[in-house]
Amino acid sequence: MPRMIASRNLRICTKDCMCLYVCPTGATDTETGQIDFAKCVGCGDCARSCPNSAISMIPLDYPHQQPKDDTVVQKVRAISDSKARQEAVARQVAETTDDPELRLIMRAVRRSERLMGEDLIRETGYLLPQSGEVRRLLEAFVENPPEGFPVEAAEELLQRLNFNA
Amino acid sequence: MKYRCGVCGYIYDEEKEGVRFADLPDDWQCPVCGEGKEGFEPVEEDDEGPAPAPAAAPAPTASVPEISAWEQEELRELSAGQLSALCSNLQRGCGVQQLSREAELFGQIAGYFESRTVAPDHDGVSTILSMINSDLMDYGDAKATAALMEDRGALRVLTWSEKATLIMRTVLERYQKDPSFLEHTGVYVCDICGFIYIGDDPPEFCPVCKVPGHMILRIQGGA
Ligand code: SF4
Ligand code: SF4
Ligand SMILES: [Fe+2]
Repeated sequence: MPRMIASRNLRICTKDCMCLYVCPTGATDTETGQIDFAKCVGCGDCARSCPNSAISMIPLDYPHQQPKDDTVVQKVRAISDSKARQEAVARQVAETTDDPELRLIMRAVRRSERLMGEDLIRETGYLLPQSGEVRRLLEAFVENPPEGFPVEAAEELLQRLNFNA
Repeated sequence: MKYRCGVCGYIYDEEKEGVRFADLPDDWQCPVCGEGKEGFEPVEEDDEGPAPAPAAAPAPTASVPEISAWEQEELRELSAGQLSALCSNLQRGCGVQQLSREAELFGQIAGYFESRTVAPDHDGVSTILSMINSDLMDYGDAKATAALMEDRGALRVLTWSEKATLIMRTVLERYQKDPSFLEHTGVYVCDICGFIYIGDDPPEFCPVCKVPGHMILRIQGGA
């Protein structure tokens, strides 16, 4: 079993019931509405007792990701590159046009291209933030940052994320 | 008899509608994605799975944006736009794990790369449409490769984004013919797959990725 902590879905939780009674460490009774992750010992009693299924147990350790075939990666990447360019065009049009209908449809296209691009690129081996691929990417940014790159952000991520490889 | 939209999968049921498909007017359109009548195919009774995508138009060439030397060497062949999408996706990934600080940091990096993204020379909607047509030529081969390699994840994203792209093409072509069709209607985007919906009430489920309708979000117009 991976180590787990409890997390509340704040849109569902009514903040007034079972988990407050069953938690052995008082981690569920907080002023923020979220569970106190530092106190939670991961017993899972709150998730099992919640009448609204508002708590899920989040793993602290994740398994290695499935390896990716290079040909698939290249083909998916090529399409994601096209989506990124379309997004850049839509963004520029949306930000400069005076025509309200054009602006609206270009905003929708920009959003859609971004979502498709995100989903495509994550399927090339970047599904999990804690993966070795993401760690290596962040390390490459820190080692040789492009101009103006927020190096501290990448450094802090390297410190904070519990990488599995 | 039932007919299925080749773009979004919507089923037209003659029995329920009380009108034969053949008797619908020629300018009738799919109520979900706006595809015309010709994009529909008859459905065998026990086969309501997704239909094969229609053949794509020939691809015009898209211009290539300038890529800095740094990008070529260090970014593992990813453009600034791709890196921005990669990091905004990691931002979402941290969000679902309740890692709010980590999400914020990936958001900063995504914002940096977005600010470094240069749009290629373009002619607005027409340029986007030709890039879409070029993408639509590439999906078939990419899907076949993903299937061959048994990469269900890649096959999933390619299937969804091909459908969402087909719908985007339909919407943009309609807009080019008659921009006023957007005047008194809502524009929505599925927050999971990017499906674009034009209309007043989004469908109960996304026709592309099947998430519940509350994930299909309205795009705000105005200034
Ligand atoms: S038991 Fe469930 S609904 Fe009740 S306060 Fe706890 S998380 Fe919220
Ligand atoms: S998992 Fe156990 S310790 Fe953690 S919040 Fe729930 S009841 Fe408390
Ligand atoms: Fe969707």
